[in-house]
Amino acid sequence: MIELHGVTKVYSNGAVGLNNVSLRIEKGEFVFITGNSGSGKSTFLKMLYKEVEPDHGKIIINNKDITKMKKRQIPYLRRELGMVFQDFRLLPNKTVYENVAFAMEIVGASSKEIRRNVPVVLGLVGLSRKARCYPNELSGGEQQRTALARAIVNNNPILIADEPTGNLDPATSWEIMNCLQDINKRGVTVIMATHEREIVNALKKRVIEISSGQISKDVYEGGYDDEVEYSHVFI
Amino acid sequence: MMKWNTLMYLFKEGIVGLWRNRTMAVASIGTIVLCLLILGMSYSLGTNLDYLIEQMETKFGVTAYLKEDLSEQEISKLETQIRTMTNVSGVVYISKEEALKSFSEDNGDESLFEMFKQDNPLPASFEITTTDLEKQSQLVERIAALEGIDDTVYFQNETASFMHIRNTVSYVCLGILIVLVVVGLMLMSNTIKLTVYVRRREINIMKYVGATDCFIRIPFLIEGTLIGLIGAGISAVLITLSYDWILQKATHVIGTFGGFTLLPVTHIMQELVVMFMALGVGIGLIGSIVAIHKHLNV
Ligand SMILES: Nc1ncnc2c1ncn2[C@@H]1O[C@H](COP(=O)(O)OP(=O)(O)OP(=O)(O)O)[C@@H](O)[C@H]1O
Ligand SMILES: [Mg+2]
Repeated sequence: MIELHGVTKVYSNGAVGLNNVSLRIEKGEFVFITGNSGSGKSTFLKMLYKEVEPDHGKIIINNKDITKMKKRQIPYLRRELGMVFQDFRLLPNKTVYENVAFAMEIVGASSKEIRRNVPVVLGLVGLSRKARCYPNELSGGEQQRTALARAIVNNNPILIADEPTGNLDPATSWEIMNCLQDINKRGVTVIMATHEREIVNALKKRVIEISSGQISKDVYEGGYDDEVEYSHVFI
Repeated sequence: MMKWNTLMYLFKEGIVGLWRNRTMAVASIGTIVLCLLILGMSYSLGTNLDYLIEQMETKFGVTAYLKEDLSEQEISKLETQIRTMTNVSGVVYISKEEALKSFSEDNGDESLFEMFKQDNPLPASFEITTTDLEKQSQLVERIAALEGIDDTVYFQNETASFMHIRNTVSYVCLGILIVLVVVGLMLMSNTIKLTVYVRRREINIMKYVGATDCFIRIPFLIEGTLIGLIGAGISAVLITLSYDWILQKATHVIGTFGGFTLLPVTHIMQELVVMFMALGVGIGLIGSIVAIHKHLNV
């Protein structure tokens, strides 16, 4: 369970990340975060794993106020969350396999578990044949799928994905979405930021739209189409 | 507590990291070797000078000549008196006959002994060796004041100038050493800082994926330790070889100055290897700890 209470973030250059946002996401939900570029989607997600600290407000994950968390505790918070970063953040000196295995190494998984789980996850995202490649030998979409594989390999209870289909062709995007839905069905809370209206429209999940750092819409079984009022701004 | 499994992984990561950043590693190892070589040289020079002084202390003794016509009792009483003085390590009595004998032998003319045997002009004496060359002149004053001692001779000038050389060399060595260790540490931590800087993105990513500081730090520490150990090993080998070489050359030269010797390689290396290991690993570890510290804060 994730709760935000009056969370505000203004960057040091004056840009507004989030402006007094309160919301609640239950365990097992599948939530799309939509909104224009620069509206604050990534800021929101980054606050959940403490890359960005809020100026005001409280963020509660699994009944813990993470804004009051000790530095030493942060790694353990991050291990509760699987994260797909918008900029992938793959370790450049490790192969696809090693990058995914790394997430298991840090939680102290045995080499047996690692040898068993990593190939399965790579199969899920369709990267079995690229296991030995280094990130700079991969296409954008392949890097993105590696990042996704790393995020789900530990079966964390919460998955945070910042535009995980941003670099994929429609067919692959759908494979990834099916994968995320499967994970969600197993009880994992999925929070996904995206721009892709077809996906949002087709899945009929909860949609939270952010504009200029504020929640402009929060609907269950929503679609991208409800954005009417915001397209006006740009027409 | 970390699992054995994880430790093995991190150890492997350390070695892989060392290999991947081998250019940096070579630079760091070079810096450490440079420092340790200078340390090794100063140490060898210093201990050998001390060893030479020690040898001189026994060689450059004090000769105390006795007055004529002392009874055997008086002589043995004097000998005990001198022997119990502080800073005296040995007393040898040289009788008039012995003095004449060695005088004639020194001059390579046995007939001298026969010639002066009846009316021996040479006085009997004590050959006194000291434990501390620096305090020799004080001792000489005390001996000269004794009843029955006629005159004392000691190598005041030689002693003083050797002490002077020894002290100067020690100060210069110490100065060079301090400067080099400081410069070495700076160079070392800079090279490691550079390594870490190159890898800071990697470190950040690891943290965002949920790695603890400890997990991230250990491979760097292992890398630093290995760099230190390799540096220490190379320095030890180099010092051993060159010391051995110098020893061979120097034995001829020094040997001609009245039988002085230098310390054997094993004696020098015993302490030096321990110092090298400690300093090498110390510099390597401190370097990595300092260098990585500020990049862990994400
Ligand atoms: N580190 C930062 N320093 C200063 N300003 C920032 C920083 N990160 C984001 N911003 C600003 O905060 C606002 C929100 O950025 P954010 O990254 O949350 O947008 P986003 O909704 O994720 O956009 P996109 O869809 O393009 O990823 C933007 O105006 C952006 O310029
Ligand atoms: Mg974003």
